[in-house]
Amino acid sequence: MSALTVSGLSVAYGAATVLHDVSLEVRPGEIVTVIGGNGAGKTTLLKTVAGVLRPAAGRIAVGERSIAGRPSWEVARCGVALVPEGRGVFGDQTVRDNLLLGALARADRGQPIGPQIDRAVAHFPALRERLDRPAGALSGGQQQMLAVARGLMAQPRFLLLDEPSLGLAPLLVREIFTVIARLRDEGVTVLLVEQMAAQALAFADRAYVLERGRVTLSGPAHEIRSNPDVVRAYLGTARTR
Amino acid sequence: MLVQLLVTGLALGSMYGLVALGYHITWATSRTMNFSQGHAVMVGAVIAWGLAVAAGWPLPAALLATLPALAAFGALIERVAVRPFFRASSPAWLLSTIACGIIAENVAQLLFGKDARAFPSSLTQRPILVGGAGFYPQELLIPMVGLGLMALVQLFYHRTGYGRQLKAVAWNAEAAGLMGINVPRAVMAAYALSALLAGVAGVLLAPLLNVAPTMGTIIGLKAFAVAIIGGLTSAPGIVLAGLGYGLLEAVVAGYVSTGAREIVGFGLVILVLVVRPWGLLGAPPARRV
Amino acid sequence: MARAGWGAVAAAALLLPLATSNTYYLYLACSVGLLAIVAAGLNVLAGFAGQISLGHAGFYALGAYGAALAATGLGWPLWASVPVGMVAAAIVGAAVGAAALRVSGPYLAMVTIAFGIIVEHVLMEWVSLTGGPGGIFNIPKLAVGGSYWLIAAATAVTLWLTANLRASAWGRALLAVKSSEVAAEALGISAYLARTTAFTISAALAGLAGGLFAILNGYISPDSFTLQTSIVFLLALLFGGLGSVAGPLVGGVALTLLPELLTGLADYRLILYGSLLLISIYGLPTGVVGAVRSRARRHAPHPALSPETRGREAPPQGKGGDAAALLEVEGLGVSFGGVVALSGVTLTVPSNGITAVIGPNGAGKTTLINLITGYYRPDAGQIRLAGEPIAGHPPYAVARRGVARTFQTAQPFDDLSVVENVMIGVAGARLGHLGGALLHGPGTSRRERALRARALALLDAVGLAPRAEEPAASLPAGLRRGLEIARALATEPRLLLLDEPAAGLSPTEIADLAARLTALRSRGGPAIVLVEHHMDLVMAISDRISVLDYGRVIAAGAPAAVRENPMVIEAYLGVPA
Repeated sequence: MSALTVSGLSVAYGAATVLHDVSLEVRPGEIVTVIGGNGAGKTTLLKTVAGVLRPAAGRIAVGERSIAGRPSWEVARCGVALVPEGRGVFGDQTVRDNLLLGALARADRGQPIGPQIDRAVAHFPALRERLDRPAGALSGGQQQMLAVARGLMAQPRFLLLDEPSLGLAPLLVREIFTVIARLRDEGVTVLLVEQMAAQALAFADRAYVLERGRVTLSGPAHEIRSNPDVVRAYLGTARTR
Repeated sequence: MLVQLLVTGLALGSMYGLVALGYHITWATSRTMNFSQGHAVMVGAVIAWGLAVAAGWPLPAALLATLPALAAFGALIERVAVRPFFRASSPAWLLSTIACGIIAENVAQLLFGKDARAFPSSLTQRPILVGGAGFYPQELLIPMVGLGLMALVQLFYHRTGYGRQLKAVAWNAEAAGLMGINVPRAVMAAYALSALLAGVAGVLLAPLLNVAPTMGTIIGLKAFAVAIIGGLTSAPGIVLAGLGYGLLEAVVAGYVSTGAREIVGFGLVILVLVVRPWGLLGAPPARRV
Repeated sequence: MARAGWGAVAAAALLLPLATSNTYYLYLACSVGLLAIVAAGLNVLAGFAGQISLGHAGFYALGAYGAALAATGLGWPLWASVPVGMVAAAIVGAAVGAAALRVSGPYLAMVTIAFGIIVEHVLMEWVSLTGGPGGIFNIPKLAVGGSYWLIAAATAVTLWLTANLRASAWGRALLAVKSSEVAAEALGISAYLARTTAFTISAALAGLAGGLFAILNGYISPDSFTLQTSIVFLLALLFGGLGSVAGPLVGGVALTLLPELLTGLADYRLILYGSLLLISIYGLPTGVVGAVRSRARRHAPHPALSPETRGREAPPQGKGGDAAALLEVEGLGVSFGGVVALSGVTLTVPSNGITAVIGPNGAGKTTLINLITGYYRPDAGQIRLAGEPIAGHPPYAVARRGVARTFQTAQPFDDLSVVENVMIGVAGARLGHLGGALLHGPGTSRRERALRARALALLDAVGLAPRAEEPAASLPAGLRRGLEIARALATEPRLLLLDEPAAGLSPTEIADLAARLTALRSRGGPAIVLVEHHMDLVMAISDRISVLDYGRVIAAGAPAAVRENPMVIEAYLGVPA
């Protein structure tokens, strides 16, 4: 299997450059996390990889196949699924219909959809009980679960998660992270952007630190975790007590 | 008298509803709409007239050939007048669709002539007499076809995969793109469908109203009023508003005057918007801070 | 360059009657003037306030019929009958603007279309007053030469008035509402009042043109006031250039002469008309004037900042002085679509110092600010400012009580220059006399100079003075935040709410921000509520911290105590490994 590589990526909104010369790699089977403060460019990075935003310069490729500048619907069909910040579930449609929409981008359109829905919601009992409820009626946590399950329906080679903990109570945050860890064990490759750096670093394989649009640090997650600058800036003083 | 007015009102009202549903469909998917939607009504009538009357095709064949032409017309409007301005928050699409309507009207004039022509139909030959009232079978056919089509549109939206995709684009275009949905193509499909509905209304109305290059303007405006009264975001609201508007018009025209009809109708629009700024069943937009 | 252009236009207008005695040409020139006047009025509405109207033929008709009826029915002289039509249009314009209170986009388009159609049909139906479809004949009219001078003068005055308006506090307020209604209300500007004012001015000018139209022709009928007429008005403005003072004149010339040039191609007239329109929308998104100006701007040097306007440091003074609680939030709760965003939030902010609100993303911090500043209406709870309840008041009313804020995504008014942005804050709700703004009275100039000097001083304090004359849209992200803070401070608030002011800033910029905020505190500036993620900044400058989590306050107190709170550590700072 091939890796997702980003090299020399720059992105600008009008006059303002948001990402400068960012390079990173996600290898099959890994969990890679990108941490950084608000406004550092984390969401911009994921959106550009997923084709929502167009890069000003740089290369994005799945294996040898370049996807930079391609629209999101084509990128989705190359096996890259972004679970966007704020979830983006289709609130006026049922949970099941949301999952069916998620399956549009899967590579093998021939296989029956029923078992696939069963597999996608296997991790999320709350969703299994609510397949025919409108997604807008779900709680925030359940919507986040649905967004992840919908992303899995595409059977992506790379699952991109943008702040899955956003707005969730601590208990639910823990649940989401447990699910992500379980996905990793099943061999799903994950690129995770998180503000809750401690949790993200706890189970990622490798990590990148993004500051003001530049990668300032990268390496194995356990090394990043013990880097004093990272501890001070992102993990809070709590860890150094 | 009243029965006659009710039949006429329902017939016209269902057509307003059908055309107005076209505004709703494109607005929901792209937050834009064809301000020359009325011209699609005219295009439908003119093409059907050309095939059925001028070329002498049998009516069913003429109708079948008109439908794809209408869809193509809608798709063309989207490509030429809407897509270039899709992201711009400027009102450019409003004017460019008006420009397309102006051009379409002129083309129709060149091909068809400026004068109105009759569209003979076996359903407008002999009126049915009920008590003192008389109305044409066509006037009964129109609301049946209109309501049937509206029901089909609802089924398409809620029961088919393609409808699901259009709904997804309408709800959140960015997320829809992430699902692998080709968003511009979906918007184009919405425009095609929208023109199709308007054109069918034109074909159905042609035998009653005569065919002319200018026939669409006022129908398009009233349908717009209906879409706004019902709520641009609410298909059921639009269908109800269409029927209500048609009935109101018929009654005012019958008992007061045709001039008063427009004054009352459009006065009602302003009144509704003062009380319900997003239409009767429309949803208010979330305030983004 | 602009001055030379206006000189050339004036010279051409003066020379035209000398160069030709062909009454048809003079009539065309009159038509240009009338169209320019309506388009200039529409420009106030659409170009300044951002509201599109497709019903201006209705106001045009009111002006024409008002003047015609005053002249024929009452026998009033010309100088009295034209203003009758103008006033009638203005009154109805105010009413339509007020009725369109809460609608926007296609809904507003519908209101204006409906208004135009109603006027047209009333003109046809009310035969006893309006003469019905036949219209009104024998309106006393001037010779074409006389009309020409009258209309030329009216056009010149109209363009002058709109130019004055654009350069005044009112004009800036309208543009602010167009650019960001949300940010304009945060500075105390009522978007409703601004829009209704724009509607009224716009309708009055359309009425003026209508009255002049009546005395130019001597005959009017409903045919001249259809939806098509309204569309032509809007086209003239958009073709010429939305928002620019000269645009309406350029559009008036183009849209009057174009049909004349196409008379030979009568059968293809609409096709050519529509195609030209499409081409101009593609090729000239900002109109002819906008295209010319952006070409000129590329070559123009930056206007230098004159030395005497610089460096008059005037620190903002807080309005409240006591140490008691300035802001009290009690049991505040709100939910959106069934999802609870905040519940039972209680928070007290004293009248000085920096109170930080921290918490994970999505915890409800921005929602809290939006509730305090009136953008959301709470479902439960109390908000009191200096003891007075403010919950549920509209944003501009809260702002007028001395509450200023910034936004998570900075919202400068992009259509305005940097210094104009701050001038809007300095003026706040005090826009001055509208008549003074239009006529550019002597007091207006003095006021403008004072506003500008104050704004430049505030910009100087944040290091933005050198870019004062640049359009706000050209600022990079970090400076946009600085501009927004300067603009908020310009309102001299008692309470300043900052929504993640450090997001996306560099370490140096964050240090600057920290220094500026502490300096503000030591000068006795406003009480500050700081919503922020950047823990270094929060810990360094805050006097108190409240921690929000999942819509509730889970801890509050001094920084050192909050930092050690185990609940805070778990919810936000991270579990020690």
